[in-house]
Amino acid sequence: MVGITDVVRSELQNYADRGIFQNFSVAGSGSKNLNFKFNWLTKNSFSLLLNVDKSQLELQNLLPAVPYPSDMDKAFRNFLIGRSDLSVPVHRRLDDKRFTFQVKNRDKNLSVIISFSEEDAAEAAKTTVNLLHEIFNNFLVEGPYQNYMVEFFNEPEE
Amino acid sequence: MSKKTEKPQNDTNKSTDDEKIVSRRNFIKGTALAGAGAAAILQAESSEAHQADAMDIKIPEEIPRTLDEAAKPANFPMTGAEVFAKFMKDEGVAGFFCCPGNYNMINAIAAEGIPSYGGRSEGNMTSAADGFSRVTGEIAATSGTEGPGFTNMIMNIGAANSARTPLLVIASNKTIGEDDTEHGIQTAYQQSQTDGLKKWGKRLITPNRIYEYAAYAFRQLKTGVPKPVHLDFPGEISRARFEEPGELQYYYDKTRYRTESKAHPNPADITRAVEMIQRAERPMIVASTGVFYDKAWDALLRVAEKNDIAVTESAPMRGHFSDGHELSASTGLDAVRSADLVILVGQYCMPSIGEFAFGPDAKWIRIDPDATDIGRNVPIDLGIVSSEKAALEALEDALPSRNRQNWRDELSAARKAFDDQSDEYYNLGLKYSADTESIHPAVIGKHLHDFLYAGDIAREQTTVVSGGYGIGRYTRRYLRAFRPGQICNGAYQYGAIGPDVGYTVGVGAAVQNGVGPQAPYKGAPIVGITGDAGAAYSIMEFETLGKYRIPAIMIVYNNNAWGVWTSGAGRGAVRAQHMYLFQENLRYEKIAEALGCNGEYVTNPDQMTPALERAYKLASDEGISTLINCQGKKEFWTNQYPPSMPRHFAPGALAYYK
Repeated sequence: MVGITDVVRSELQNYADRGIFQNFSVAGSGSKNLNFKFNWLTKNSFSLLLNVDKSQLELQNLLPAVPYPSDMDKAFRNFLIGRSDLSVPVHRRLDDKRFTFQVKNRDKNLSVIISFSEEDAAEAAKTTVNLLHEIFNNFLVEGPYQNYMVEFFNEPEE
Repeated sequence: MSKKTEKPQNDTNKSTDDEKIVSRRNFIKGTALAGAGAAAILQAESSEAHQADAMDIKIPEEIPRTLDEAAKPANFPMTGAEVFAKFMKDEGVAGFFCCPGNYNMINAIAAEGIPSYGGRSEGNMTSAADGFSRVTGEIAATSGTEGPGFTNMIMNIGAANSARTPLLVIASNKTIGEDDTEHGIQTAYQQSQTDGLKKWGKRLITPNRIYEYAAYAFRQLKTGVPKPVHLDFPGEISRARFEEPGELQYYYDKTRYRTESKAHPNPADITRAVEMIQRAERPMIVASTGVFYDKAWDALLRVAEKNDIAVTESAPMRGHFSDGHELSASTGLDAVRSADLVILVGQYCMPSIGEFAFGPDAKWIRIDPDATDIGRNVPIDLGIVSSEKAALEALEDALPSRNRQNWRDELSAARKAFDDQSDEYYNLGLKYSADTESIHPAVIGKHLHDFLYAGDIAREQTTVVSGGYGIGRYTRRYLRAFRPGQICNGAYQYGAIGPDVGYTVGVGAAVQNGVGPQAPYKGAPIVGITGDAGAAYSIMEFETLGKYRIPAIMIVYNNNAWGVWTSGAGRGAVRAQHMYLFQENLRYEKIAEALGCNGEYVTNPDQMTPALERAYKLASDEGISTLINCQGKKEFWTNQYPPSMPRHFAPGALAYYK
């Protein structure tokens, strides 16, 4: 138990120490679950929940205001599936043998849950961070989400 | 200014005035225009269709005559204006763009033989100077009169500042003797107005220090990271008279008032960089502004090829690494995301983490002449203080040869994926165009690409001003740069929507005169791209294009609205939509025609290429510019027409668009 929290925390702290995250905080120290908060790619901060019992990392409420069903919800799920495809370069491919990826849409808020084995905790943390990057610098950039980013992530109009 | 253009004449009144008034065609035919700032010589008759429209617009004979006058370099005794103009000439200032005002200065600069252009707005002339520098790497100057003329330049100075252009801004500034009296007109404190928009500035107050402060200005312009330099010339300075050199302070040769020496990298830093490069599997160089101004493109190519390092660009100009090279990532956006080592070279305008597409595990090396900027916005793993060329040459010497076939394969796949997506957008654009009886921006981009790079024109030939807001997000996908200075990125980082025709004047002048990397393409037509919102700010400069016979083809994407018009349509906006919209189907090309140029109106895809062909012929044969008004629909920016307004990192413009 302790091993996973230390391992995950250490991996995420490394991104903060390198200046990739603009800030980084941890809530829930001493309990089973940790909630990591950091600012990175948008003005909104990210919330990453580590559920130790389930060996899961959850990017909570990552994309707000996405109805279910909707084109965007569907596109996002397809994007996630597509990241495991052999056509994706191996260094960016989601390893669906080691991890499972699940999308949750609750009250129009999309979350992503990554399940892993204890020995893969470090890699799970790195995979989560890289997935976050792919979502914001690939999925949301390549798709028709200009207005969405302005409205829900305070991206400048111009 | 010489006497104003005479009223149009009809045939019956022509005879006695023919000697005074020169029609455009006769002017082009008969005038061998010497020196820079002059127009090309006509080689063929103008097209019939154009002939009728040109009849009433005339270029006064004073224009070719005065352009043809021999320069009159000043010598002692000199005025302060002449001292400074001579200084500019000796320092190789390659172009000067202004509106009348600051008369002593601009007249002295023109007389000295510096290629000079007078336009219709100070701001646009500032952008012309900016555009000129961006595609030549040479210093250009701009001038406005005190007060309103100067304040008309602020937006454009801001844009040049973001682009890190070595722009010399000069302005008159009333007189010192009348300071704080508000006597007369056009009084203002001007230096403070460029705070934050310049590298250095000074209001000159002691006449005999004019040479000394000219040296200050050029030390700033010619060393380190460039930015605008702003000098104000009160009347006491420009009108001062100096009988002999001894009356000027610090009057000595440039070899004594500044150095050509540049910083070289610490060998230990190069060793460490080589280690990092060798550990990397997918290294990528971001070749930015400094690579161009340091003329380091040959060294860049050698480094990239020696160790199989991918290259993308992020500068306000493109082409210092050819888009046609196997190691180019400028059209391989997905490969950018794969880079595990990023080497920023001359990245003067430094984006923040996330503004680039590089992933979170990538390591960062930054090479820059300015130590104070290394580590800002993007935390580095290695910083190297050096001129760009020296660092690249040192890396070339130190790096072993290496083949990275996997990385090459990934780059190739990424470029193909990007091109496939561009083709997909084009096919969608054709459908949308047919559905709406208009022309979609993807269609404009693709047709322009095929015309410039896949037809009879040599692909390296045409220099392009890549402007516009919405249209730019499409056309940038299709534009290519195969040699240094081939593309001027319009609204670089400052996001000024409006200067694009101004940039086109400057870029056109640079090509017309064959300055710097434009030399092999001297006299060739250029292309500019802007939107209808932006065109409004600088469309009057079509008169300038016509006057100097700068052969430009300007594409204006006309979608009847500001690019951000959807902000007035949703998110709870009430009674706001009208502010974002224009009248529909406005005929901007007729403005160009009224200003002595040519116009085309394109309303469907089939018309695009023929319009380009006609415009190119007119530009090439007669030096006449054309505005191609491309009628689109504002709705193309909505999700009704995906991909609506792409949020891509445009090719080779990482620092501009997200």
